[in-house]
Amino acid sequence: MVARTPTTWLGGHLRWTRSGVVWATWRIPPLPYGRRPVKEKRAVRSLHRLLFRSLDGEALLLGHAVGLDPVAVVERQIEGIRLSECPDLALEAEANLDRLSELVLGERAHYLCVPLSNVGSRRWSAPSQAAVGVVHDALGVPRVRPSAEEVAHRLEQAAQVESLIPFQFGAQRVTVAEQLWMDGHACRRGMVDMPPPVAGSVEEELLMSSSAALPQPILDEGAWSDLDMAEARVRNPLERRVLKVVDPRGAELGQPASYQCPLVLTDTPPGGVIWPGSELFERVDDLAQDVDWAIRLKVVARDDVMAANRRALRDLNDQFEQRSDELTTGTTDLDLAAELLAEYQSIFAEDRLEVEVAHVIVLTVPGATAEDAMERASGLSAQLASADFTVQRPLGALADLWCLSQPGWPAGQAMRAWALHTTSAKMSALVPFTTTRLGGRTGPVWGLNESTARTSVIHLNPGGYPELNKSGSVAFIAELGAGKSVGLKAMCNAIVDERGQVMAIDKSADGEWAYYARSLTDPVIVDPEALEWSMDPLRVFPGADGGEVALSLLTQLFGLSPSEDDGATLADVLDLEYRTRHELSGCQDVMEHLSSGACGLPAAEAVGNKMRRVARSRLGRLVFDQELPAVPADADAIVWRTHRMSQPTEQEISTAHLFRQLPPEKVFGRAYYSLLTATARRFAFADRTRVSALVCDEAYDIFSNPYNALDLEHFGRQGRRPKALLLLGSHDPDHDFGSETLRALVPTRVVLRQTDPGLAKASVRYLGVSEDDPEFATMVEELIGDISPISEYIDPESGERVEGVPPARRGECFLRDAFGGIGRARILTPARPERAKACLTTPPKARTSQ
Amino acid sequence: MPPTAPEPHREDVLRWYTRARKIPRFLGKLPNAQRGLPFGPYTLTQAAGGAVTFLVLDQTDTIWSIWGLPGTFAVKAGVSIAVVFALRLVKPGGRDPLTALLSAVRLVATPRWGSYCGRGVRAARPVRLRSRVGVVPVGPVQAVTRPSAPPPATEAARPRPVTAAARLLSDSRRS
Repeated sequence: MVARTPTTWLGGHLRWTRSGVVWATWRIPPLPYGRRPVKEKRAVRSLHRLLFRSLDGEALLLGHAVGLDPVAVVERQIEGIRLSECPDLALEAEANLDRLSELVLGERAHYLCVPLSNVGSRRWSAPSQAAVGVVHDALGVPRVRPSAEEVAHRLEQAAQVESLIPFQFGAQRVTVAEQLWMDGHACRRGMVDMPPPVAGSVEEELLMSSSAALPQPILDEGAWSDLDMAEARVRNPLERRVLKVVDPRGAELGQPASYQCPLVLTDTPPGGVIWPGSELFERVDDLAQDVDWAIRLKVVARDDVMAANRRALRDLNDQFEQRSDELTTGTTDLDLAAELLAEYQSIFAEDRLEVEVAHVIVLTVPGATAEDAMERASGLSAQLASADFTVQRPLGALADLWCLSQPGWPAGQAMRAWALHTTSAKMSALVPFTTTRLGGRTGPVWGLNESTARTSVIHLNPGGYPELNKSGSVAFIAELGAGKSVGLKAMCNAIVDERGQVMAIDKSADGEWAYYARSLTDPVIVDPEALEWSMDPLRVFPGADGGEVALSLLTQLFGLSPSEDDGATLADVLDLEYRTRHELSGCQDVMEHLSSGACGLPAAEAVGNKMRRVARSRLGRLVFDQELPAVPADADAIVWRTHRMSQPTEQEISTAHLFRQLPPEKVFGRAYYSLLTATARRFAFADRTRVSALVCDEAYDIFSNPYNALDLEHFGRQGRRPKALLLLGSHDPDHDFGSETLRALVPTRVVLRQTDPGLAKASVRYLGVSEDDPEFATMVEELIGDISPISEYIDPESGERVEGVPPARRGECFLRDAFGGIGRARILTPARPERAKACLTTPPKARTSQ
Repeated sequence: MPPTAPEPHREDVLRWYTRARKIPRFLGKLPNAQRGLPFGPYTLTQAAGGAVTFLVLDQTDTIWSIWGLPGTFAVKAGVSIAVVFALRLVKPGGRDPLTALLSAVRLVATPRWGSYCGRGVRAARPVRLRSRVGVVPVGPVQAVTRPSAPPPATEAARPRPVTAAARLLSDSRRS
C-alpha cells in the first residue's frame, strides 16, 4: 500500500527512510558489451555473477532511460578545448547543436541501490527511531537528524558493501543531487528529462537550491482524474491500467503529468533462454522507447535455498498425490516443476558458492498521454510474449510497482507475489549493467551509435588517444563507393578544426583530396602537374636531417651504393658541414656543384649528370627546382598528389633482373614514395603537442611497396608519443595493410558496406569477431545486405525515383573503437553544410565516394 | 530471443526455476481418501472460497432463512457450490487471490483525483474564514533604557469591537 514517500534524510549516497532502513546508492558505469567477442562477453557475465554473489540480502538495480540533450553532446565535443583558439570548432559545435536537436538521442543511467542491514542493537533502535520520526512528523515537531555516530556507522557499512562490488564496475557514489534527480525522474518519465547532474555542475546547484527538493507526487492509478465526471463514474479498471504521476511542485511550473505503465515480468520461457542472446534489457531498447527497468532482488544463501527446495519437493509429491487421478492424461506442469526442481537442486548440490537470486523485474513504459502509454505497454507486452516472456500490468498494483522500482520503498508484498527464482550464474546472463556505447566520453562527434534503437552519439577522438596511451590510428575498410573516403574526410575535418595537421597521399586521378583540402583550409598541394611547392629535402629539413633524407632519396633514385665511389661522394657532399662550407642550400645547388667540376671528389661529375637528367623531367622538378618554395612543416593540410607515380611491385623488387629493367617512372615513384613517408613522419613527429594525421586513402597502393610498408609501420609503432596518426582506407583488410604488425597496431577499425562474402568475412574478422563467434554470421550477413544497402528511393532534391543508397542510410558501418567496443554505427558528415558538401563532393568524373 | 544454437552448455541457458517453487496447489483428495473428490481437483482458492461461503451462510442463516431446514441447507450448499465453480475462473498471475482481490477493491475505491501522501486528493470545499481581532494600544515606541509610567488610558485607546455582531451591539447600546 502506497503511503508517504519513504525518504526522511539524504546524505551523500545514503538515504534514511521512514522504515528505519538506510539505503546506499552507486552509479554504475555500464560495462562495454555490444557486439564484442564471446570471450569478452563471458568476462562481463562473470563480473555480473560476482556482483550478484557479493550482494547479501536485498538490492535494487536500475536502468533509467535518459534523453540526451544536444547541449550536453556539444559540451562533450568541446570539452577541454580553448574555443578562442579554434574558431572553426566553435562554428562546427554550433552547427551540431542545430543538427542534433532534430534527432532523438538517449542513453541510460545505471544505479545499484543496497539497503544496509540493521545489525546488533540497531535491529531495534533503527526502526524505533524511525517510528519516533513518523510521530514527530504527525505532530509537526522538528525531525531529529541522524547523529554523527549514525552517519559514520552507515558510511562504514556502505564502504563495506562498496568494497565487495567488483572494481571493474567502477561504482561511483552518487551525490544528494543525483538522488534527488532519481526521485524526480520517477515523476518525469515520458517527458524530456535532463541527464543526472554531474557533481559541481550548475544543474546540481539548481537541484540543491530548490526549497522542496523531494517530489511528493500525486499517484492516480487509472488516470481517472483525466476523465470528466460522467466518464469516471462508469469505471472499467481493466481498460485503464496506467499510472498517472503528477508532481504538484512541477505542475505549478507547467510541468505536465507523467503517464507510466509499470509492467512486471511474471513468466519466463520454460525452456530457458540461450546466452548470448538473453540480454533482455539490451533488447528492451529495440522494442519500445524510453523504457526504464528495475530489478528488485534478494540474494538467498545456499542452505536456505536447499531447505526451500526440500519443502517444494514435499509439496510437489503431495500434489502428485492430490492429482493422481489426472495422471493418466498427464500433468505437464507438475512434470516440468519436478524437472526444474531436480535441476535446481543439483546445481546447488554441485556448487557450494552458488546463491539464489529471487528477483522482480519491472519495466516502466512511459507515454505522452494515458492512451499512448497503454498502447506502448501493450506493444511491448506483445513483443515480449512472442519471445515467451509474460509481463503483466496487475490491476490495482501499478503504484506498488512504481514504488518497487525506487530505492527507499520496502519490497513487501510485491516481492512475494512476483519473485522469479534463479541462480546467480544464470541471472548473470541478463547482464544488466552493460552498454553498447562506442567511442570515448568526449571528443569530436563522429557518428551515431545504432547498435540498439536507442540512438546515441559516438565521440571519437583519435587525436586524444595518445594521451590515454593508445594509438590514434584508424582503418576504414569498404568496397568501392561505400563511403570510406567520406568517413576519412569527416575525421580529418575534426582534426583540422582542433588545429591539428592533416597530410594526405592522394592517388586519385581527379585529386579528390586536394579538392577537399582546399575547402578545408589554405592547403599545401604538391602536384607534379601544377608545381607550386618543392619537396627538396635539403630545403624542407634544414640541418643534418635534410642530408640524410636527400641521401636516401638520391641513392634510391640512381641505384647508388654507399660502398662505391659515387655513393660515398654523394654522402660526403650531402653532409651538413660540407654543404655549409660550399653554401649548398638545396638539391639544385648540389647538382650544379657536382656537375660543374668544382667538387673534386671521385665520380662527382657522373653523379651530377645523373641528377641533371632527372631534374629535366617534370617529376624531377619536384626536387631539383630551387625556385619553388619548400613545403612548410607546419602547414594545416598537405596533399601529395601521386596519380602520375607508379611503384615497382614486390616481385620487381625482389627479382634482380626485373629490378634492373625498372622503367624510370617506377624508379622515381619508388624513391618519391619513400621521400613522402619519410617527410610525413618527420613532420608528424616534429611537434609533440600537435596532432598530425597521415591519410592513405588507397592504402593498397602504398603498401604494395615493402619499403613504404616498413616506413609506415615505423610511423604506426612510434606515432603514439608525438600524436601522429595513420588514417588508412582500403578494401581488403587481409592484404592491403602491409605487415601483420601494422594491421594489429591500428586500434580503431571501421567497416562499411562489403557485398563480397569473402571480403565481408575478412572485415568482420578484422573487427575482432572470430568465425566461431555466434555474432560472426549475423555480422557478415548485415555487412553484405543491411549496411547502406542500395535500393530505389526518391531523391529529396530532384523528387525523382533514383537508385542508390538512401540519404538516411549513408555512412552505416561497424565500428570497433580503440577500447575494444564493437557495434553498429552511422558516420556523420560535418555539421556545417559547406563542410559536409566538401566531404561528399568529389570532382567531376569518377565518384569514389557517396 | 528464441533458442538458436543446437546444444549450448548448461551454464549458458538462462533458466528460471520459479515454477519449481510456485507449484500450483490443488486439492484432489481428502486425507486418507482412496478416491479423488468429485469434479476435482480444486484450487485452494476454490476450496477456501467454498468453505468460507458455507461457514458465513451457516452462521447467518437465522437472518435470511425462510425455507425451513432442508431448504436452508439446499441454499447453503447451492451457493457454496456456485462459488466454488465461479472461482475456477480466477487465474491470478503470481499474486495470491486475496491480495489480488484487495488491490482490485482498492482500485475501485481509489480516490477520484489520485492519492497524495497516501490519502485521497479531494477538491476542497470552499471554506469561510472567520476572524475576531482586537487592537492593543501600544502608544509611541520608547527607548527601553528607563521604565517609564504607562500612558493614561483614554477613550480612543480602548479596544474597539470590530465584528459585525459587536458593532450592532455597541450601536444599539449607544442609541
